[in-house]
This record gives sequence, C-alpha cells and structure tokens, in this order.
Amino acid sequence: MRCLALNILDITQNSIKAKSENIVLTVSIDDETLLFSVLDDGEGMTDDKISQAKNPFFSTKDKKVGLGLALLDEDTRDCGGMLTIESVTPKGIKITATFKRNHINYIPLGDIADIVVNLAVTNVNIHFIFNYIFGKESIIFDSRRMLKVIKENNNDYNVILKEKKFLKDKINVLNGGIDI
Amino acid sequence: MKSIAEIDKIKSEMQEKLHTRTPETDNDIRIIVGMGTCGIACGANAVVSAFINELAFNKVMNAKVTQSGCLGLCDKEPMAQVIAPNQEAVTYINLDEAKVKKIVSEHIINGKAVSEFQLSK
Repeated sequence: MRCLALNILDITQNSIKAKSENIVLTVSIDDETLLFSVLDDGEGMTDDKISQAKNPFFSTKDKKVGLGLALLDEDTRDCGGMLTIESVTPKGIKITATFKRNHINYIPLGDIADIVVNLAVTNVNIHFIFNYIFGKESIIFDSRRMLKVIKENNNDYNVILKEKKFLKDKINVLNGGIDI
Repeated sequence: MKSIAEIDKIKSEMQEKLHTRTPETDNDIRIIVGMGTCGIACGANAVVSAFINELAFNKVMNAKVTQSGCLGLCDKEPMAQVIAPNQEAVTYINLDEAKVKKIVSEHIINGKAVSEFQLSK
C-alpha cells in the first residue's frame, strides 16, 4: 500500500464483511509513534482463527489467499512496530497497529480524511466514528451526522466535498501544517 | 391440507406485501466500486473520490456510490459496476479519474453506457 491510510481502509473492509454495525477508527500520534486501531462489533473470530490471521494463505472468506492483515503485519514489522488482533466482549475484534515514526521504512499516513469520509458515504448502514488524536488534542468525526446533512440536502454530494475539506483542514491545523 | 383457492389467496397477499417492501432507493442509479485488497492497492479509493467529485460537480441527485468486496477479476481493478433501474448492470474495468469523468457524463447523466471501458462479455 502506498500510504497507511490505505491500510486502514483495507483492514476496515474486514469489519464491514463481518456485518458490523458500529466501527470506531482511531489514529493516535505522538512524537515517536503512530498508532491506529479499528474496533468493530461484527461476527468476531475464534482464537484459532486469530492465531492464523497474519498468514497470507489463510482467509475466513471463501478464498485461497487473505492478504489484508498479512500486508499490514509486514508494514508494521518493517518499521519497528507491531500488530495485535484481539477479541472484544461481547462481540467483535480490535486491531491495533503501531509504527515508529522516525524509522527509515516509515510510510506516510496519507489522506486519512478522504478515506474516512469515503467509507462513511459508501457504507450508509454502518455507523463510523473516527478519532484523530495528536498529542493532547483530538478531532472526532461521526458518520451519522454527515449522512443526516446529505439527506437534508436531497442527496447532494457537494456536502461530502465540504465535509472532506473541513476534516482535512482540521487535521492539518492539528498537525501544524506538515504531513504525518 | 389447504385448498388451491386458499393457497392462491395467500400468494396474492404475499405478493402485495413483497411489493410494499420494495426499497425507495430503487429509482436511484447505484455505482458499486470493488474494494478488495486488490482494488485498494490499485487505487479504488481514488475512483470513489472521483465519482463523488463528478456527481457533486454535475449536481446529480439520483445516483449513489456504494462499495463491495473483491469482484473476482483482480488484474482488471479498479472496477466498478453501474446499475441503472430496469437496466442490466454494466461493469467497467481499469478505471481512472478521466474514465470516471466520461462514465458520469455519458452513462449516468445521458443513460448511454461507455462501451470502450466495459468488461467484454
């Protein structure tokens, strides 16, 4: 993947396939590390499946390969981070990936605002909450609020463009104008 | 055992119910973008953004962008299906922003499928 945001998009597809109703995406950045997590309330996985999930030739779907988590695992290990997959009660999965930001193999985060808003638009039945934490400050994006505004404007997609720009600008201000 | 008349009655009742269950979004054009790992790696997110940009720019209100998993032809990603009401689904392959622009203006607005980007049957 060209940027970490695409990895987040790819991992979230697993949660969507697992019939989740709520998905919480978190990106947390401090001076040394970038951490992102995807928490869902979908079908979940057994311990046996979790232990095999990083194997590229294992998939819970009816396929011969499952590359999503395998690629993410490789990316995290390449820059001195780690990937953890854990079950949460009562149901669902939490995936956490950490990356060392000063590592030579660190991949930039990319346009996370674009990806989160696209996810919310293309999956209207799922409630997405996106948390962006930089140091001590944070931004929260709620997909239900945006979908309500789109509905009020008769499905006008200009609302989405405005929302994207708004979220992107807020993230930029928090980052201090540099790419993470 | 029920008589045939009774069964016919149940059938007509159920058909009415089925009719009322038709979702209101049926009149909308659906654009389904393949978002498997293969699609995402090839730029499916850029295709979704391009569709949203074009729909917003042309003020199209009767189309919705949605997503699905891998559509099964990973070498032809990014792919998208356009399903207009009462028409057959059209699958477009190897998309990029310029192709999306043409698809929105010709297929979604004017209702004529762009044959050059289609998956050949």
